[in-house]
Amino acid sequence: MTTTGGRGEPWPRVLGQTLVVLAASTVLAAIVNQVRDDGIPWRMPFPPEYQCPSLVAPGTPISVAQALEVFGRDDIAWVDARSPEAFARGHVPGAMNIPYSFIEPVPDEAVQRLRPYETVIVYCNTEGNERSERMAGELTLAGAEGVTYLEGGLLEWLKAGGAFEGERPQTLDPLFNQ
Amino acid sequence: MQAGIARRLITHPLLAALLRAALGAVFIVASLDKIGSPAAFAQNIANYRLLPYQAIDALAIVLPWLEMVVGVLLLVGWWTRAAVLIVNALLLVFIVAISQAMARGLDISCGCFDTDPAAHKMSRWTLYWDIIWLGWGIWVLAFDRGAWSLEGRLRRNRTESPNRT
Repeated sequence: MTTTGGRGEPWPRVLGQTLVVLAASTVLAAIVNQVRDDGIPWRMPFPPEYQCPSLVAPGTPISVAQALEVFGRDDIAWVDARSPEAFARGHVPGAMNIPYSFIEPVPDEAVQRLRPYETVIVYCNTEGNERSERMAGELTLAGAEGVTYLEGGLLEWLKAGGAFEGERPQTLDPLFNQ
Repeated sequence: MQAGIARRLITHPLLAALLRAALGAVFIVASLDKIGSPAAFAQNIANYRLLPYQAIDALAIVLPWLEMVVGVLLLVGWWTRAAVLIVNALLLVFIVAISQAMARGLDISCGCFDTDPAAHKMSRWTLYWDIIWLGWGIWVLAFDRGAWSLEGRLRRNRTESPNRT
């Protein structure tokens, strides 16, 4: 079999090819990173240890319609992830207040309180259910079972006619300094 | 005589071609999940605690595509020496990274083929496989002569072209 190429390549040419491969890969990577929805910044904005941990068990959403159907059942726990002040102003009847701060882990006693329940519905009033979804994920990580977060949050719950005691929120809460 | 047969077997172009293609396939497969999940791959890199955090994302963006490109080049046999040089350099870096992670007792996912932090926890076999692949890469660098390669095929066509004077 006649063989060509390979060992016959002069090293300067190989070096040039290497540089072209490196450059082409970088350009290709840059283009794809730019056009994709989940592209990442070229420079990590802060050290990874300061980032919220990845949710190994991300929260499972429950729709407002599904939540309305099961509201009032004894085997379901409602968890209000907002601050004590927001809870005191108004909340879903029967909900327990377990504030979620992003910085501190969910206390173990909270996980223990939820153990008797088959389903846990966590709700909040932040954009994209950020607070309740993260809390649901952390509760699941911590060993709680059947944890879900209310998709659409309090505003959608109220819009659909869900039960509420106290002062009804009219707008979303800010994510921090609630 | 036996030494001659052994040498012919070891240096046979088919063996180098097979190792070249296999190495290319390994790198293509390794790149897929990382291309699909750049953020997760960045976390994998961060877990090695080797690089300053400012450099992690850039590496997470470029490295999977570099693996894919060199993998394809090796698989089809184009610019083989350049591709295998890059592959060997990458494998050396991976071996160093994994070795230092194991020496420091980091219980982390390798991030070699999978960005899932719970998958493929690092073990000695992670290291051994990288060493084996580096061996393939050195073999290809030493003995590949373009057999069963796109580059070799094109050069043969040029050589055999009736227009050549």
